[in-house]
Amino acid sequence: MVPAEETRIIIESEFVGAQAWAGRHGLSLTWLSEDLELRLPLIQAVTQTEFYLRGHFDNYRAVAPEWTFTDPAWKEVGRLCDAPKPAPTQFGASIFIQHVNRAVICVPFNRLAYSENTGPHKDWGAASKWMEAAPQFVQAVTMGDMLQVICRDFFVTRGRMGAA
Amino acid sequence: MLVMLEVEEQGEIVRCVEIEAGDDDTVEAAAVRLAAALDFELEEVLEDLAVNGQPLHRHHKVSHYGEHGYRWRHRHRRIRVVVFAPRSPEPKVFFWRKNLLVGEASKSAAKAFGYVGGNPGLQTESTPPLVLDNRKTLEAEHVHCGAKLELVDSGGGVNGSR
Repeated sequence: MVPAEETRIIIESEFVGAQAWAGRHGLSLTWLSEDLELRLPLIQAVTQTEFYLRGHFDNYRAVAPEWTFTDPAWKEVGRLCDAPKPAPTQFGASIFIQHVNRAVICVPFNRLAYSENTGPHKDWGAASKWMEAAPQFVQAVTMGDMLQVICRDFFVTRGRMGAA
Repeated sequence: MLVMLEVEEQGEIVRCVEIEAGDDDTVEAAAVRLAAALDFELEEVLEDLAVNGQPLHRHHKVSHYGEHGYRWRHRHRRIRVVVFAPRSPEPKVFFWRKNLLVGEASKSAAKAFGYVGGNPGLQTESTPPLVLDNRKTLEAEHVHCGAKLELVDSGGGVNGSR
């Protein structure tokens, strides 16, 4: 277990870069220090639909953060209706996938992509090895870099992954 | 004598360096030190080097051009690119050759920002951003002098690739 205070110190150093990134992209990041939670509302360019990206950073950086799309109240996670419908990117497959009827952001820096957390990847080992997992795929090891990658694929999506 | 080299970019002087040169030094020997001070390649500096409008020849002595003074001018063909990284609040400025591959430029920028490994790429500041093709040159990807770009990992997603 990483003490919450230690995580806060790490996050505060990374948040400066992430906030500057958000400013450049006209996005509004909210960091809830008590809950170790990051919130980022996103608007899909084509449909103007709003999505809610949430990151949970407990035990960070010993384990990857937990990235999900939620309902507008920032509570319900993993519902197909809250996630963007994946579209192919210029890099290949989208990072947004459906797994066991749940929406997953399938990247090595999301603990929910690992099978130990109900994700699809047994082959990546433990979520504690996230910084070395799947080097042939997309990589990000700071908050700002993770947001950049998620938004990279979000910007080309159109519609929702499933109906409400 | 003191040789001053002004670097011209699109009609403006953007950088200026000075070195001490001896009477017997060749233009090439002086250019080696000027290039090092600018972090340019020697051949690149020699490609376009003049004093008072008079082209300088690499094998001539520096003193050969003394009547024109020692304020040399290099019109460089590099482009000035401002690069942002999602992990840093401050950008960094790079002077890249137009024929540099985007992939090479990305790696050099990523290294400067402390990235290790990954698949660095560069994207435009447009909305939505356009990720440049790592296999093409900066010129082919229409990167102009003064362009602002942002680092992004260009690795593929996992879905369907396993």
